[in-house]
Amino acid sequence: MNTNSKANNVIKPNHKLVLGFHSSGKTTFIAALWHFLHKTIDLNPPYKLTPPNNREYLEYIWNRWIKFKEVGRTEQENFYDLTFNLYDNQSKKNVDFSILDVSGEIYNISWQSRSFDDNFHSFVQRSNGALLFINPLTLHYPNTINEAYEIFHEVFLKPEGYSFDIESWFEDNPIPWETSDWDADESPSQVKIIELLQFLLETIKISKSKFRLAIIISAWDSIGTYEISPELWTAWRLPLLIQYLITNFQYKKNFQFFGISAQGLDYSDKDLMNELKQKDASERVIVVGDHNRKTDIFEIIKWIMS
Amino acid sequence: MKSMKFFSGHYVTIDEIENYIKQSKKDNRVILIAGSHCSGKTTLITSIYEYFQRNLYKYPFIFSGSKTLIELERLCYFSRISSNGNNQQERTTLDEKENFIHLCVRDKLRKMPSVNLYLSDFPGEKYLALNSNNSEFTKLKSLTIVDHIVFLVDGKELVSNRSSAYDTTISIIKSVLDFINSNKLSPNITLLFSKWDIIRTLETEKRKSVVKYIKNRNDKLRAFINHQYGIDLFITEIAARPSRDSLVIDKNIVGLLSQWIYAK
Repeated sequence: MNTNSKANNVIKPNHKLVLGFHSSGKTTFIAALWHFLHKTIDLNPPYKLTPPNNREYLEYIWNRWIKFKEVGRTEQENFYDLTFNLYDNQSKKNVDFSILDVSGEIYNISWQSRSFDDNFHSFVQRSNGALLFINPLTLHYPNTINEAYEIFHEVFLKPEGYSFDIESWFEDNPIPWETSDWDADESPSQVKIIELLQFLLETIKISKSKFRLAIIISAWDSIGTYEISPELWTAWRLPLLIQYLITNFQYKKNFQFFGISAQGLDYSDKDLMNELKQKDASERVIVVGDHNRKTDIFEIIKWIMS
Repeated sequence: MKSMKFFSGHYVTIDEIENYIKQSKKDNRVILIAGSHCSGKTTLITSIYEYFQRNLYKYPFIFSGSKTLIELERLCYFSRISSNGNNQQERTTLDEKENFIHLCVRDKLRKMPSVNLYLSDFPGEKYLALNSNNSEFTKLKSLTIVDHIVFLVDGKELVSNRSSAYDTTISIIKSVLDFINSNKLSPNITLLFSKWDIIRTLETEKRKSVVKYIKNRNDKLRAFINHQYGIDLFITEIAARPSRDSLVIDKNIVGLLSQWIYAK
């Protein structure tokens, strides 16, 4: 395992970025992946791992994960270039699977500064795929003209006798009723994600048609009750992003959707936590593919590497 | 630590557009939107962008990218907030540079390639200043590469002072067309009536009077432009910012986009 690797110009066969803003679920996914690669006792796993010598970071985040604790923020200055040497039991071949875990702050800084720093830039150049994490619970949505009018109807055109505490409602709702200076940081999440992808496409050396992008909707346990697939959820909640994806990539060939709950639950749900503590840790992880089809974490790895 | 710098996300200048057009394999369209102050130029641009964010399934175009996302979000911000029921729109600033918003769009069925649209956001005062001095037009580099020019007539002004609103626009159109004609350029020309929802909701007799006035003037103008400059004038109206009872974005915006994309 390399940390803070120096730049070189070689495109590694399976060098993938882990993209996503702060708290999007990147590191929790890696902790869960480490569990499935190294901690289970499956007699016929899809992949057999040769453990890396230096796995301090992986063990640290896995320890947090197994104890139902937040895995914590990745330090801004650290890049974790994680290489897993895998034996594919199906194809009977050895593969190196590398992923780069960085702090979500890197992406926020890139949005503001309109640049990648030198080290990160070199990682991006060498990559041939990415796992893009989107957390539905931390997204920022725009309020459009039409929504503003809907809210006016709601607030001002209620029938007489309707009691409505307007002051409290204004405090609770994010619409800025008073003119204030605009802040680029308040832009909707899907706009920032698109910008990140635009930066990515300007940087990668590989042809766009050969780049693989897994869109991973994290905290899927919070969405699952709607019985909606990850692709439909994205089209519903992030329509601008869907349009950008289908005009710049090919669905299923270049990009694919997954839903994952690597935690398995909201950690504030103590009853469910106690229930899951009595079960095999592998059962915590929920993964769905397109059409809300139940699958496992290895399908994500298999697809991104194929 | 050195870093790789990307596009700023703010307006693109005319010089940048010229570079992009040289490098790009995609089709490009440069669109100038001209109109007096508060006639609805910026609202038109932000409405087009907002409709991509909201109406995927109803309209024939989809969003394919933008180099000016930060600028679009800044402009939209002022369309998203309300104060005491009055929508506010930040006035475009008087800036000497020719600044453009960039939108890359594609047909929904993806049978055609993406097209880059570069939309101007010029303050109306600049066009009025140009109107009084023809030589000033030569400083507008964009006029030499423009594909479409949209002249806005403010629907709200038409209701309060129809001759001033219409004749001011005619004056600008004639000056611009004189320059275009003398330089053997051939952009498409559109006359666009903005804030049509205000006219639509007038009481019947007043609405009929305004619409009749507009039709008469339009017929004369169309004939004049065709005769004098050999140009077919496209005329339409929009209500880019919907009225309180309407939450559907004007279908004429789709017509406008189709014209920009397909009629080169």
